[in-house]
Amino acid sequence: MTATVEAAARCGQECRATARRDGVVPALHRLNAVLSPDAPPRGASGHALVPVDAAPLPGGGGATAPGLALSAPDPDAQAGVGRASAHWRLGLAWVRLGASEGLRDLVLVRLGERHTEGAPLLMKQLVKGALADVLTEHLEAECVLGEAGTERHGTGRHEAAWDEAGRLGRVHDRITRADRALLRLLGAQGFTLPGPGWEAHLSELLADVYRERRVVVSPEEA
Amino acid sequence: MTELPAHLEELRRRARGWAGDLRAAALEVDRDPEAVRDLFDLPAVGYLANRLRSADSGDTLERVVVVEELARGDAGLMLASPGPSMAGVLVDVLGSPEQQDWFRSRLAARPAWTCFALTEPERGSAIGEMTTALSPQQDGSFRLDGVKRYVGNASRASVAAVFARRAGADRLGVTAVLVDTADPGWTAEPLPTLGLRGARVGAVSLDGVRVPAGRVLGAHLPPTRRGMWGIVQVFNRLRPSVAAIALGIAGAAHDYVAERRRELRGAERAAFEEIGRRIEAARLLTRRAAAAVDARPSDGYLASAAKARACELAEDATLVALGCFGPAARVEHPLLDKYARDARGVEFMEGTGFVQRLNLFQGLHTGRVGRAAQC
Repeated sequence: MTATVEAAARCGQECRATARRDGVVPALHRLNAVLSPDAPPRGASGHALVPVDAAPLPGGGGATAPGLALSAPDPDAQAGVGRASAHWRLGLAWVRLGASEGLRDLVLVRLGERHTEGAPLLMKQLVKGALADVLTEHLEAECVLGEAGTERHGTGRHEAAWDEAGRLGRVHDRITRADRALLRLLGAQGFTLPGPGWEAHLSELLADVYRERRVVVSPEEA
Repeated sequence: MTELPAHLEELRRRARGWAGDLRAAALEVDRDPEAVRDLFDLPAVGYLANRLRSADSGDTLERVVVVEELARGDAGLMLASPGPSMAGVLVDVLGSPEQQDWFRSRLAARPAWTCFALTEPERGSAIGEMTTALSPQQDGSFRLDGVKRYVGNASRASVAAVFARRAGADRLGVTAVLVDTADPGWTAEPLPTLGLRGARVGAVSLDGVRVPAGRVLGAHLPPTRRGMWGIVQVFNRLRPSVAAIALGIAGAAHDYVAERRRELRGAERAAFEEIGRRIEAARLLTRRAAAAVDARPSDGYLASAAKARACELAEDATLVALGCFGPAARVEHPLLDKYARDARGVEFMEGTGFVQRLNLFQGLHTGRVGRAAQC
């Protein structure tokens, strides 16, 4: 089944909103249901990450949380069988952006509630600056993903210029860095499980498994 | 903002064609900023000198498209060019029809410079700290006293837009006036700068300059739109253009590497490609910010993000480019050295990165930017 450009774009925005509100796993369920309904797609190395509602937490003594189950690599996937479609890969980036925005929302609330020296932590200039940097990352990622949706699947005029591994890969890298910056603002709260650190970890795993292989471009071609 | 409208794409192509002239003259103007007086025939200089109307709908996007291409030629020479520039945007937003006519008539007769005098020594651009005073006189005119710093083209401007505090006004009671720099009491001299030398950044002294009542901008507007409201709108319109200057400098350095180092490998190649992707991404953000301001002039938060982002990029891109040429690159590649010096200058235009971050945080904290979309 091939999704239309409009349906894929709509799905991306819905998954972003779901990830922001409910987390990575519900958003991935939704992304798969719309853009890969037959089976969870596989990445370039043949692995798949399947959303599950009760994954065992590492060192958790039997505790579980919504998470991801790793499927053994399928050799056929490296030849393209069952691989994630371009629509799906773009949708995954929207999921990760939404999850990162949700983490940002959480930081705003938590640091607004914590006080030091008579003022909310949120109002410290270093915190303001760090959050402004994260917001800038998110705004720029939104621009690039929006452009990707129209370039990759639009008129075809830009098809040759679209370097997914480089450009989408960079968005994934920047989202990861934004997540790490937000987790630092939460202190040790972002390191214990489950919680925001777990969500960011799941998001990083998805970026890792579904990243495309890099194609090197020389300066004159660029 | 996938594609520019056809008329802007055509203008962008023309501007790109003009940029080569600017690049060819860049080092000469860097050595002698007054060399710009011999370059009035260049199409880019002519365009900047004659573009007298600024505040039309869609203007901010148009400006960022042109400015990026021209700054990719040379930011210093672009800023050295005569024309309405930042003062033009201020006059278009806050000026009465008579004031706009007076301003344009001063520029229409011959290529003439304008300047935008806001910043003060030791106080920067903080409106609440401004001390330049506008005092009413018995004949209905005003008297202007104070000092300004870091004003582009101050020493060669024939018309100046000057910000001042009205006598007796509250902390934010700042207004802007138009000054004929030939009037007694105005003196300006250039300051030595590390980069962007063409812009002739200067210091201004205002010693009892007489300002006729008709030169006080915004007097014809309702009281709520005279002061800070209008000034913020002007700054919101200008900020994406500063981002575009930074993008142009980054692009110039990137082009320089692409033209001269065709066999980049390993880490050098990765760094080069990363800068290319950052330029593309920052351009998308800058154009979106410009479109947001055009749609709603009070919406300047994206412009803050774009400005901060692009200025960091300009510094990084020029340093990465220098790194591609090995030891003594700054000596053996003077144009690249100039780009690296110029890149530092955009940080201080229209609010530093710290100021933009605080503004952006304010938007985030109040929910004016970064809100969840309704799906």
